Amino acid sequence: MNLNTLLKPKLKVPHFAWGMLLLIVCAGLLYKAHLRDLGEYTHTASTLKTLKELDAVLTSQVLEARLRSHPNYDSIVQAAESIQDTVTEIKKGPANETPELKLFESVFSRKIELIEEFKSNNSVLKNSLNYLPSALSDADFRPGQLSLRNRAETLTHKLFIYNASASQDLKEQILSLINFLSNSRSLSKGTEGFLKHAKLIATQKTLLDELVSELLALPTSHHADSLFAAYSTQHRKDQERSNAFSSALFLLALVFGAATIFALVRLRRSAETLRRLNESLETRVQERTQTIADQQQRMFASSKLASLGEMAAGIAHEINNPLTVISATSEELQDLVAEQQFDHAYAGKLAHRIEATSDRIAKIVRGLRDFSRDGSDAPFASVDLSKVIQNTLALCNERFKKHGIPLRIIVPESASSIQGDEIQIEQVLLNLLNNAFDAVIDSPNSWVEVKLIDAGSVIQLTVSDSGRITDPTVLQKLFIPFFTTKEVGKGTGLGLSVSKGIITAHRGDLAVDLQAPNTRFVITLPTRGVVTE
Amino acid sequence: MRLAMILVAHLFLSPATGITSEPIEPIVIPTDLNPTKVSLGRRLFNDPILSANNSISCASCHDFKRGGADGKSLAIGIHGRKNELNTPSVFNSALNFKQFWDGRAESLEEQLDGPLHGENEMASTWVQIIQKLQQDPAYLAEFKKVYSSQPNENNIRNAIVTFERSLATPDSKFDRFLRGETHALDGQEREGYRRFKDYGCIACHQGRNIGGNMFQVFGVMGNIFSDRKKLTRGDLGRFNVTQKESDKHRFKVPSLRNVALTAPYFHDGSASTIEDAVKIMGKYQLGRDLSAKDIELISRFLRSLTGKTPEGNAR
Repeated sequence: MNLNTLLKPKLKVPHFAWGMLLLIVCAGLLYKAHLRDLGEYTHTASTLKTLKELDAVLTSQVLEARLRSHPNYDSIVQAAESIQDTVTEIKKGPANETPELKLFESVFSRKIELIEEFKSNNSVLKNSLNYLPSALSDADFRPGQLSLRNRAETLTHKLFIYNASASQDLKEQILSLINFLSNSRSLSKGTEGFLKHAKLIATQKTLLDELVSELLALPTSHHADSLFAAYSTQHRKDQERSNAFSSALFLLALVFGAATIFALVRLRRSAETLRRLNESLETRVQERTQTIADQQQRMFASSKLASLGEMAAGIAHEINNPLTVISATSEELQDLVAEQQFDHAYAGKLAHRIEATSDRIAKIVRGLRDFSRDGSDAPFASVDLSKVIQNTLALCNERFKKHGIPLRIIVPESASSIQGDEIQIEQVLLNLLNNAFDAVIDSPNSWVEVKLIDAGSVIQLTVSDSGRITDPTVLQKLFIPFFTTKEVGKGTGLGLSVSKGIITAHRGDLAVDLQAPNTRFVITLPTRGVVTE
Repeated sequence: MRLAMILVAHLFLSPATGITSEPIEPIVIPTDLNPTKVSLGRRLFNDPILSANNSISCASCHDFKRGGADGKSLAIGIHGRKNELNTPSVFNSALNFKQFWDGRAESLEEQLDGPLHGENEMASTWVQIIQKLQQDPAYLAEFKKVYSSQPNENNIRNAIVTFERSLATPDSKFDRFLRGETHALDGQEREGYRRFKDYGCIACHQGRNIGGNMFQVFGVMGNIFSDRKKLTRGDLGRFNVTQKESDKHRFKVPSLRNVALTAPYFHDGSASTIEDAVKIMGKYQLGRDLSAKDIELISRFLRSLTGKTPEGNAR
């Protein structure tokens, strides 16, 4: 596994989509698994049971009205209305579309029809039945019609018994009595009225028996039962289905949980790999940093060597001149010694010249020695910048003089000092001065200027010359290693880049002042000490 | 609801029905009605705005001074249009098992559309009524207060029906008698009641409303229509609803409550006095020529059925 794949976000879009899909499926299952609450079931079930009870109440009210001499139909009406209300309530509930409800309703409407017929006919029967004794007393039989009177009384008697029984024999006896009486001649109006009611009782009773038996045969109770059974079955199915969905939901939750654990484990493993890769990365960065530091070190050294090579001729010249002076002066001193008239004062002067010139050589050599010493590891110390300038000038002053290039030094009276490596700063300054020298040596009216400005928190050391860099690409590449405009063999292209590195290590800056009319390199260094790393 | 049903069932199953073993029970004042709805319904009931030309209100035919009916043989609607049936009383109408002479409406809610839309009655439409009511700021405010809504078919219907349900006429002399005040009825009235039961009137006129809970053929014991005026559609009665031959001339048995106030009588207003009506009933329903004494006594009993007239005037 490489670093790139590791650092990419683990939750790619397809994974996210899968997650969403899973959630939607879960929500769907949850919805499907949602069961009508038990309270609603209990309510509906009890309403359905009530329906059967009310139906039984209605039937019993009809039977009671059939037997009572003065029935009150309000109770029948109320029972029927209660059933109607219950049906309406069931239609609002979950059992509304059960075919059994339709069956119940159609049978129930037939029952209501029969009940209406029953009420009308029962009233007629009760009317006649209640009136019959009075009608009998109103029936007037002539004295000779005693047997008729007896028969009418028997008929009344039998009618009352018949009303409360189901005897077929009795009915035939009644019908024959009615026939006999009706066929008798010259009946009074009262007797005819009596017979009318007697006939009516016989027919109404039969009719009512038929009505009641049809009513009792109506399967309303059965349909109420099947309605309840159908609802219970439906409810059980719902519950089973709901359980199935619940199980599916549970399984899905298990899968989801397992997937989550798997993902967590993988994530942990990835994190571990990432941590290890981070560690190795750090090691590699350290190694690389070390390598770069080493390379830089070598670059410094080679740059130093290059500077030395460049200056070898100059240095030879620097030393050669005083040597010639020493040689000539010592010859003159020898001549003086050989002569008889020894001028002491002159000899002393010559000896002094030799000493001074030797001092100068010694000074040059010391500067060289200092320069060749590797100062990169030297701890930062207080560096007197005017001393740095003096030391550097000792290495190149002669060169400028020889070629007649004026070198102006502008240093403030009070000595400015920084924290740093003296040798390295000298190296940078020498570098800049050599570059300036090379840049202007072939041009007329050339000059070079070194200037130190103390600005308090920082100091600026500038090296300007009479030349001018116009090529923008040169300006861009100035500080890039191995870039040089000098002839082949004359420059290494390392000077400025190394110098920049040194100044940067001092927390300072080396830059070209683009605002200046001439070429001008500016070294900016903080006066406060830098913390060595 | 369920509890109520069970209670009702227990009441039915107990051998004695109600507080008395008589087949008639006294009127009970309804106590479960929202008074603000009753009040709004009363206002609508009395407002001619419900008729097409703002000429008549429900109260025009259901006059509280005339026992909740109109005192005419046949009802008269807008533009003086005659109807073919006598106006039944609005009093205690909530106790009827169905509404109209032919029982074609199962409830008062259903009944309301009859007179509102009838060409010969108020000849109005819901759209007209709702528009008119919505233009009336006072009605708007009252509907807002009572129903938290603008006037619409449902709440107008509910208000009027709620008012109608409040129109019970309790405390008639007979009801007080039923409640145990034996001397609320005098001897003749009590004898009238006895004959009313004895002759079989009670076979149909029973229950709390003394009628109004069943259908019966007009002319059980003899065809009253055979030797009379030309038959009208109204004379066919329940046949108009069921188209069943056996339902010809079958009518809802009318309530006898406040019967003394609601002359003339029968579906066509053909009997102008109680005595006439009792006589005709005796002959065609009971198969008996009632004596003058019978008629007098039964009529006395019937006059004892007049209850307390409910508050009728708008607000």
